Amino acid sequence: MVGAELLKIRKRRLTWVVFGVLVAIMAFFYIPLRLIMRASESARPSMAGVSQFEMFNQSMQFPQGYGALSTLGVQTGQWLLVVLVAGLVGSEHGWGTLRLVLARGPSRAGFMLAQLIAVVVALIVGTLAMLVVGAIIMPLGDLAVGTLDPVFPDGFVSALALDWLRATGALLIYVGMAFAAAGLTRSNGAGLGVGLVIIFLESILTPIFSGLGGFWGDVTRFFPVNLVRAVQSANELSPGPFAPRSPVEFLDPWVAGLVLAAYFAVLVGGTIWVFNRRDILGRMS
Amino acid sequence: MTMDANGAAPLIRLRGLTKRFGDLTAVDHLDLDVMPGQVFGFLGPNGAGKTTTIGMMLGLIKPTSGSVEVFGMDAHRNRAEVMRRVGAIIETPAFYPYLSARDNLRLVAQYGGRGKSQIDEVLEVVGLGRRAEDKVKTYSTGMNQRLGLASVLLGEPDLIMLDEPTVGLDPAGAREVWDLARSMATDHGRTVFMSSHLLNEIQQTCDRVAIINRGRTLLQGDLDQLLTGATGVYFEVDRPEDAIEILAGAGVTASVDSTACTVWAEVGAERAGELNAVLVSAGLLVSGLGSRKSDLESVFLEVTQDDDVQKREHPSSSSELQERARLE
Repeated sequence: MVGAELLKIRKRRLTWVVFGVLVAIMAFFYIPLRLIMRASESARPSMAGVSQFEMFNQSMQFPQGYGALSTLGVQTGQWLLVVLVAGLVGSEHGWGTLRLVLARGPSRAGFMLAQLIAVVVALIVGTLAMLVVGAIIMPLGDLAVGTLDPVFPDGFVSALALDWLRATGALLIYVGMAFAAAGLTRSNGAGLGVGLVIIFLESILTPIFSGLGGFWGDVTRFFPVNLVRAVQSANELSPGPFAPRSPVEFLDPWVAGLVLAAYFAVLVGGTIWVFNRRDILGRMS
Repeated sequence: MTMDANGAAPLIRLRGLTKRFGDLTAVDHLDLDVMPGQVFGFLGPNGAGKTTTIGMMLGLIKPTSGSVEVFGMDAHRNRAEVMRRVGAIIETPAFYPYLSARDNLRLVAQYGGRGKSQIDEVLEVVGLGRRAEDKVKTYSTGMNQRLGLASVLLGEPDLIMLDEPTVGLDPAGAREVWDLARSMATDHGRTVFMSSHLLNEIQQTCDRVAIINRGRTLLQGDLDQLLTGATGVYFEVDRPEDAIEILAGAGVTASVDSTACTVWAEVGAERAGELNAVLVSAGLLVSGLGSRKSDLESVFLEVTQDDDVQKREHPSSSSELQERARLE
């Protein structure tokens, strides 16, 4: 059944549109933005002898730029992932589609798990593809600004692998959110709305609650966005200008990872639990 | 356990099957037996509970009480095993519009754990062979319905369940579906369970019929027997009310039809001449007579209208009436 779900993901235009948008955003930061910054370099004052362009450019060069790619990828990817997963899962839960699928005999939990596994596989493939995309756009950007000089420091590959693992793992929480919202509401629109509102609320409430301090300040540490940042704070490659600026004191990365895993389990488990008990209705005659 | 004349056990056996949605009882202690090799018609007006019943048989809806046995197994406890031998479509199936017909059938085969080798064959059977690579979003409702039938045939199921299978089809397409359903039973020995509110569809296709209304079985039997039992002789007379009295005197139950000039006598055609003589000798002018084997429509209307009258006189609850009105 996972194969069937992967076929659907592969054949949907939404998948490729979302991936294309992510690539375009990344490419913008690595190529045109660097060109723009270089062009305006003379108009900007330098700090301690290093221009803003040089500071920015150093963190975007191949291969050090993977640190920024990892952080930027998660910050942008969370929104796009909610759009993708809500679209994929929500459209599967119309009564007509459920009848078509479930009347063939698969178990409901099996169907839901196959969907989830397929989305996770798509996430893994997507983030791996971004590494490849990075290996293309970073040198292209370097060439464009004339700073191509790839130097791989010791331990780079293992650092990159761990950073990729943290980024992919952290993004799972957004898969879980969109999966639950779309699965429970049976609507891609509602799933998308709920997922995006949660992300938006987090960014609004974090500074407010942190300002209140005490209990409320502690609560913000358990917001998914701050847990993801906590996990990524262990990254070895520098995120450069994309390092999260947050008033929150992050949890330990391992603890944050465990809390995220617990959130994910509750979201997915709860959704499957409800789905198993749901009557597949629609118009009855 | 119920058995037919050949000692075969029912392929589908429903006992006391009930589904309640809050105050509404959609299916109410439904009993049903479907024998192997039959084309079984499940007939009822809109909102009668047909799709809810099929939903419970397929494990899509959890019954409030009662049992569903298919192939002699509890259909809910042994769902995977049962469903491997069932091909079903419920109303117009919602295929994936961005996939081709062939890809959609690949998915159906994968979900049902069935082989993909028959995909081309079943597409040919339903006349979609040439459009197999076209995306389903380009299909008409009728083509979508044909694709649904193709999906049902995958894996050569022993039991085929079709819920309103000719919705959206033109008369020629509907005829093909009926022929296909019959052929599945007569040529391939499969059992076909077909729900419909179209009387003609059921009469053309089925061996045995159950009529349900308001979630209850009103009538169940072989189609031939139901229609034979409803045979009548009619007389066109100048004084219908007098004719009824005269016929009653001859021990015959009769009634006036809606045109108020035709009297229907509940007897076989062999008594037409004898009763004509009785009416003429009593001084009535008989301008026409004949016999007619009643069609399914008259049987259906008779049993459902009786049920409606009873329900109006003894409604279960006002909220139930409102909910049914909403569903219908």
